[in-house]
Amino acid sequence: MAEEPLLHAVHSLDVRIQRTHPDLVAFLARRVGTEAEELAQEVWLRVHRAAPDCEDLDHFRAYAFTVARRLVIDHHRRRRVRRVVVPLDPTAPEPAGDPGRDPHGKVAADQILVVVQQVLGAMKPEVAEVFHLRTTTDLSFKAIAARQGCSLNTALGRHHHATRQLRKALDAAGLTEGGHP
Amino acid sequence: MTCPREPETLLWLYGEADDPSAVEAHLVGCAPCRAVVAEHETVATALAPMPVDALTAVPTPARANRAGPLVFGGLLALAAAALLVVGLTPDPVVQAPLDTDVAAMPAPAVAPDFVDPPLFRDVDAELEALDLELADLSHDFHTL
Repeated sequence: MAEEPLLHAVHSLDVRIQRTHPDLVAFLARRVGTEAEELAQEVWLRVHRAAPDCEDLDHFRAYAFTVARRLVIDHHRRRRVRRVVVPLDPTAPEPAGDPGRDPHGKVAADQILVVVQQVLGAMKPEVAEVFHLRTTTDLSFKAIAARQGCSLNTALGRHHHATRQLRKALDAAGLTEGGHP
Repeated sequence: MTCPREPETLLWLYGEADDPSAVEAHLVGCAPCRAVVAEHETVATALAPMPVDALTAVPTPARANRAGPLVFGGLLALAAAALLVVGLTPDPVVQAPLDTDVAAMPAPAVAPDFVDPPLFRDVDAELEALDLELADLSHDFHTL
């Protein structure tokens, strides 16, 4: 008898996962290409562990997509590290979204770089520095804060401010999903 | 709308949270924090194709510059002093404009009990408002 509520909860979670899975995979596919299914499985593993107390399917979806977004950020960071550490093999197949030899991708990558440089150049140096360090090095926010002689909260605030400014500029240039030039 | 737990959310987002499960439990019920996550992911995804090693370094900022509120207070005091001088002058001749060149002013010493501003205060908006206030004050002096 005591097992019934637990079984019901697990069943409920599995039902929610089943209903959310197709949309989650589609969401991830637009962001990480062929690794979407693998990332989705990782999302569900984390959701199972967390066993979130969501009042309805909409809340559950919002939570699951939030976890997914975090994994997407981590995915992009790991790919950047791999590109720097492992020299590209010219005979290897192109990874998804790699602009290396795709001329259109290269143009987009260069456009993005221009926008980012412009936005960072217009920011206060201490704000731009946080974003630059977080993007190009493995320094933690705590280490960046120590380097800048500010509190952790201030460093986080600066990074968030830089991110918001970049979002606006990238949206305006049509370089984000849903952004219009 | 912001949430006071946004700093924790950002740390979680970048893999630096002390207690990830606590943040995840918080995110279940916090739409503002979920919106922050969405915003950061959108930018991270947009920047994914960018060659990071081509991102040139930004100029190194001056360190330990925490004089913001003290500069503001100093400027107000200066403005008040200028008003007093104008008020005492019998012939209201146009005074020399206030030197509002903040950069030329000596930086006051940082108070030992200085408190960092709240995380998401819009510093640019504050400075803009300060500029407008000073411009208004300057205008008033010239029309006295």
